[in-house]
Amino acid sequence: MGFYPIIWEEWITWSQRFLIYLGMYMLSPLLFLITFGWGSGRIDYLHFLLPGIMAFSALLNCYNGVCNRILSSKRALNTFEYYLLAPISSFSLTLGFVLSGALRGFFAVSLILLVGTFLHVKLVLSVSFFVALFLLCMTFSSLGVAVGAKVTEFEDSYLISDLYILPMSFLGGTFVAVDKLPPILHYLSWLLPLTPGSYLLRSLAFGHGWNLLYLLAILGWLIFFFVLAQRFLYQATQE
Amino acid sequence: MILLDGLTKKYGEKEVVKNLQLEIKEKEIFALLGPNGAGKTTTIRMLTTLARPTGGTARVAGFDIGKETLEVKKHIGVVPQQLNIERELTAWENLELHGMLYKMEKKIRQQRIEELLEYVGLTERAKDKVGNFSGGLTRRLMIARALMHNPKVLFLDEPTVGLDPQSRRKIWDLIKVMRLEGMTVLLTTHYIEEAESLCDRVGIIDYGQLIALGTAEQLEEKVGKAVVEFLQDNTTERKFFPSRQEALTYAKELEQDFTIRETNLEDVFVQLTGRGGIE
Repeated sequence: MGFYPIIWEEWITWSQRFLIYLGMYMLSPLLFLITFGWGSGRIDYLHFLLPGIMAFSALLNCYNGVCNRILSSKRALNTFEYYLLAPISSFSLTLGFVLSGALRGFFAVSLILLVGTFLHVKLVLSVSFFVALFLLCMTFSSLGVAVGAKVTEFEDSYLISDLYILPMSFLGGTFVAVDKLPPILHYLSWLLPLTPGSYLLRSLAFGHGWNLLYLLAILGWLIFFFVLAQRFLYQATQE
Repeated sequence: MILLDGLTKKYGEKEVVKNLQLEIKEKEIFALLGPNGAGKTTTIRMLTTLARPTGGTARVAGFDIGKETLEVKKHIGVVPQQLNIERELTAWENLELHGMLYKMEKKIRQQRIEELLEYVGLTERAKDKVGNFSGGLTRRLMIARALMHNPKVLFLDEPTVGLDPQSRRKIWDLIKVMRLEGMTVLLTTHYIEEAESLCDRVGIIDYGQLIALGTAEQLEEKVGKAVVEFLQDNTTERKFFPSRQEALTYAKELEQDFTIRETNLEDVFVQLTGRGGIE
């Protein structure tokens, strides 16, 4: 349980700014839902869109939340090294940061689900759906920890956001089905972790059950990003 | 308690710590003095496992800093130069977080927090957010936090830098209590007075090398017990002598006004590093 204090600290700071975070989590997904979904007047598209927006929101909130937390602790608060000094394994440290980001994202996505209910979008909300959602949150949070641990300047993280996260959020099967994209983008989109994520959520939300291929892809990305995050956190003590 | 054996650190081609050999005994309060960039902080970073040596090794509290990092971390307390405390948390919560990170049982944790807040004089501020604390209060809380898990060795990197004289003296008092309690402390400092009044022994480091080691008195004797100061070409010249009598004999020949006084640690520093003072 070496990871628990990191989540505890996150919870204390998070609960103090609950309303601010609430607004932050809701704003962009709500805008997308209203303009692309509700605004289109097509309930079938809104139905398609909602799981995509959830995957999109999981990506943004998990990645940004934890990446910014680590970068701030490195550059502004100087607390990053305090955690590196704690007698906990690099695995526990990584798990602590990853879980803190994942829980934040999970909460944010759950709020979107609530909004979807108000918009009369009916999804199959099974345990499997929430497990898949949590796996997705863990994946993007691991990516955030890896980037936060590796980069030293906010500018570098903005660059990664602009060149990787932003294109992924639009090409990852969130707003349109990837087979509607031009062929090259269609194939490229399957190289992005968001694509199997949004398709897996959609599959479960539509009551089609687990898609093994999407699940394996997500698990693969999760392991890859987690190992990368652990490695970069370890390297932080090897200057 | 701390044993450095040829400890070396290179960044690229630049060797910032060169073959340090040093032993700090149990219950000793040791000061590492040196100008900016001399290698003090890099040495502390290596000893606290935050940087990896490129040569040599060191043992802290009996554990190898390269091979037994978790054990080293368990037995040390660190107060770094920068204020690195969670500002959104209260004083109590910061100590609670620390206790949890060091896997202390809840009951022991709570008891220790109360003790330490009293020790650093922050009991009344326990429930206040640290973001509202002054630099001096934050530094005191950082010391409490470093002591929370009863470490065997405490590292203090410039513990009083940037503090007003009152806060500085309060921290000195805390270090004096640590001495009474038998804690092993390695501190780096810019302030000669701090090293002189608090420490059993002093090491002077310059360009990554340990150039002097001993008690303040031993080091002062090394350069001479008495010093004659006089102004020459708009620069203060200092001449050192083994005794006050010899200093007086020399000074009588001078045409300028002069001062004769006992040598202090700052003189030793200036004499050994060849620099005009601690930067």
